[in-house]
Amino acid sequence: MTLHLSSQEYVDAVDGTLSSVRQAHVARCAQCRAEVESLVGSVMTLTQDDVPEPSPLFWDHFPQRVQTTTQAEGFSASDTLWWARWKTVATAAIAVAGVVVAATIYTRPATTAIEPMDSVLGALETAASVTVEAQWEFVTNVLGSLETEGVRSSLSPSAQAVDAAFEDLSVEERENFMRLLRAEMDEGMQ
Amino acid sequence: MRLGVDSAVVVARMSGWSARVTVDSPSSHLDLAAAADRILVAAFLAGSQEAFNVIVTRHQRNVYQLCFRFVHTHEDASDLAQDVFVRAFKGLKNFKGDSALSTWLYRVGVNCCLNQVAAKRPSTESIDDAQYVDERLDDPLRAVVRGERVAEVRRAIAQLPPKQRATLLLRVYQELSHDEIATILGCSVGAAKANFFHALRNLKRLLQP
Repeated sequence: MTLHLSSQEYVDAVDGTLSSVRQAHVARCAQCRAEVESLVGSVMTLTQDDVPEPSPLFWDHFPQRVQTTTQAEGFSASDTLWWARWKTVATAAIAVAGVVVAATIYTRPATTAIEPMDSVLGALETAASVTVEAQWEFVTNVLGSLETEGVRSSLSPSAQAVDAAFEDLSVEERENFMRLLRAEMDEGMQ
Repeated sequence: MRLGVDSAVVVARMSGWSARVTVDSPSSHLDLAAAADRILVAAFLAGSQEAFNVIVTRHQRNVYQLCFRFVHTHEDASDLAQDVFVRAFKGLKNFKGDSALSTWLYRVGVNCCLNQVAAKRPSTESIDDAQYVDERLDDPLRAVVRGERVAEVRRAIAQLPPKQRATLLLRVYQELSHDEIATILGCSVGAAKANFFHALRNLKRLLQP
């Protein structure tokens, strides 16, 4: 048994555009045929109602009536031209604004690197000074806990190291070294 | 009819088409009365009031008849038709050209009419409906019977849901295709056909004694 027509197929049947296969079903199915005939009857009922034709003068005056109304409301055809021009200008302005914003965002890393440089350097200096002070405090504390003889023995260079360093000096450097040494010894004797 | 505005060359671009209009150029003139709708729209967007007047002249009858189907009096229909064209005047800059201008005007018209009937929806149609039936070709008795029947049908149509009502009027009286109706109502062709089917069915039920 073939399915009955769908709502869209009923409309196609009323329009005369139903497929031949479905038309064959309508020919066999009393229910679908009755429905199609009923719908066609409804359409025929509707078509009996005509719109009365207004006076020819009405058609002649109607465009002027519309124009008068649009003008009374403060609109004119040139407003649309003005709108179209300003639409272009506004679009261009938005595009320029977009480029400016994009450029600002793109260059922001460089700007932020330059502008807060002073504060960054100040912070680094503070951090550095804190580090140096902490280092000196650490060294002072360590040295303070050592015995004097222990420090002297651990920090004094060995005789071989002094000989090796002296041998690395050039002739001129040796002469200068001997001069400074004599001056130091003379000072010590005075 | 020729344009009476300053010389200008207008290129109106819309999705799917573009039109180049030479407006009152010394070397060439555009006969607006014979111009295609898209040319008229382009000329109007270029600032030509005359182009819009031609649009109104060309489409006023269809718009008026659609409005009359909703309100059933000449006064209300002419006011509604005027409202449709005023709205079109303001909104034509948004017309994309995706559909025919007539289809776009029908869309504006259906929206105006549905808003109008929703704003002052009578419980039944006016008792004076029958006097607006064109009786000039009938003999008096047949005219009365026919007028009563027509008024009865109009009352039934007025009771249909808005989309069914619009679909029925556009299909039967304006003889638009289901595709056009779907475009106007913003629905699928299948939905437009289903609306038409249910409108006819409901109408039959409402007209049963």
